[in-house]
Amino acid sequence: MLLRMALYNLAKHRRRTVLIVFAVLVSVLVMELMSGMFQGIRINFMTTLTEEGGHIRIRDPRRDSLLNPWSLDYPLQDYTTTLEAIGEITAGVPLEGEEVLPFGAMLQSAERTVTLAGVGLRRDSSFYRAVARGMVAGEVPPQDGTVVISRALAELLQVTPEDDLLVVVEDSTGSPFYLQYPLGGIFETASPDLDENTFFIGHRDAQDLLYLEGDTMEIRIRLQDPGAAEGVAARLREGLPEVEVQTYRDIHGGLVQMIEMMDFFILFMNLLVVIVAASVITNAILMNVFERTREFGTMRAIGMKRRGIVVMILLEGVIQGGLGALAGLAVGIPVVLYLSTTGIDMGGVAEAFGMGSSVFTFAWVPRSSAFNALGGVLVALAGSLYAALAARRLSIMEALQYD
Amino acid sequence: MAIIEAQEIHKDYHLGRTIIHALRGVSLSINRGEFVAIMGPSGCGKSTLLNILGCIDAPTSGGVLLEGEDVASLNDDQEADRRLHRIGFIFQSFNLIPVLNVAENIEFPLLLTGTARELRREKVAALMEMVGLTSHATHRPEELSGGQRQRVAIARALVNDPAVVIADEPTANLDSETGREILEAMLRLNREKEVSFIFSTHNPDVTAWAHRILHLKDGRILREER
Repeated sequence: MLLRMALYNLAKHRRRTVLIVFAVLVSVLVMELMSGMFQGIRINFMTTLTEEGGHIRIRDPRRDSLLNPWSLDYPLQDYTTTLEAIGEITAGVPLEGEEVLPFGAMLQSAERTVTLAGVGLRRDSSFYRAVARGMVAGEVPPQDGTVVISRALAELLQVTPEDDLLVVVEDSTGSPFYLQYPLGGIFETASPDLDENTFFIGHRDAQDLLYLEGDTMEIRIRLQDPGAAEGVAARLREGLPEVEVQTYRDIHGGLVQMIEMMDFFILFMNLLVVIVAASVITNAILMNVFERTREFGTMRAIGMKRRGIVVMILLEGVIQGGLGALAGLAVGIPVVLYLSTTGIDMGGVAEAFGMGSSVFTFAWVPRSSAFNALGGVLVALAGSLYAALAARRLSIMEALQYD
Repeated sequence: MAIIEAQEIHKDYHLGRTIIHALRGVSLSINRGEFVAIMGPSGCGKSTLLNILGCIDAPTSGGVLLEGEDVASLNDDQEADRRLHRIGFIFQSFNLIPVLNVAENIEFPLLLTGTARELRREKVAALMEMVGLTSHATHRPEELSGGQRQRVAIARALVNDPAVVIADEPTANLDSETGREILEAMLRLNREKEVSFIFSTHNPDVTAWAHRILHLKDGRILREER
């Protein structure tokens, strides 16, 4: 009967019910959009971070002591054996591991010379997918004996596909060396780091260029489950004591921490939304309850206990909160899903967040939606509780005399 | 044993610095099956007395015994139980629950006692028949006349088979004809169900029906007629 009375009351005071449900809907919708946005930032950022560098990096431990990051001292020797060992140590863990050879170089065309980073990738590399997606001509990893540069660099160097570029390096002996390669591909991403500072060459070609026969500079590993990084790294450290094993957290500690702090930021923003919504909802519920004070007095005079009044008001709050939360999700989830596929082109803002692209995509996380819906219900419940306790405090005489 | 017994009831109201002595040492006892009227001018303390007897309000001093039990010794929940099971209250302004229809208003106290559905249906049907509102079972209070609403209130007050029904000016908001009908209905129920009735009224016709009439003035019982 209390449930039925709660439903009747909600139906009778339709306008106020709609207001409260709408307030909950808006608060849940805002929370849904915010968590979609921040989860998108986090996922996009982490994906970009690990898309190029992977989740685990293996290299010679002495490289930490080097001042010059492009130094070819202490390469990873006999890396194929190391790759096989990695396969054995991490048996059963879905991952991709491959050799990557980053180095410093100059690119010289007939017109210009630029200094930038080169990356030697093996033919079947799964890294640098943003570059692969942004190819406007040719392919990456490049065909043997060719280089791939960005459109911006191609314009700067005034070269087109098939034009020759000179790649000048300091090889592993410390001597300057150069080789000529035709331009095999052009890409365009929204990442300045890739577009302005990086070119790609086959791993074999890089080894020849740098005089690193059989060696590479590092092995990068991408895991299917990023959460397994620490565990896998621990196993690799135990199984490969002669190398240095670093997770993406070790490499990008500060950035990763900053992203993980997003959780607290999301929580803070949700709290703000909840507080604002709660003030509207509590006010509306209070007015609704005060209008029925005399009715509550009658119920108590008949024999209803104080807690019965409280339960009835709380039921109304839960129903309103539940309806509002469901409506908020019904609107919010499709919007987030839509924005997770199409994204929003935010130009420099997205790049500033390290998205690697001007298009900012949202991300839908079911757990966030569940929390947001729960938050909506709790907001209405909290408002109802306040009103219920206020109604509970009145004596029967005070309630019956209420006008 | 008296159904209700009031012992030296005093009730004071504080309005700022002023103290209003609404009741000044009222003592009475009501026996089973009695039909007792309380009469007196406005402000003499009738409603205050009935509220205290009905456990809706507490006296400033003095005691109320309900079937021999001291009401002051009860906590909030126990008092609610007594109101639910032993006392029926009829208000001057009906005080029906607006979102419930006639049958549901009468049924409401039965739901509070946890009565089984079948028994609830039977009791509600019987009482609606008794007060002549069977055909209005699904009507909401706003669709009823004053007399009809008061009859619903009477049925609601009786549904849990109380020992006593307390009615505070049950005919005040009704025309004389309807008021008379209501009093007749109350009297009939008093005789059929042997439920004690205590009510306040200005209606002089009551002198013909009441077993006792208590005249109140300035918070005191002036005299008693039988």
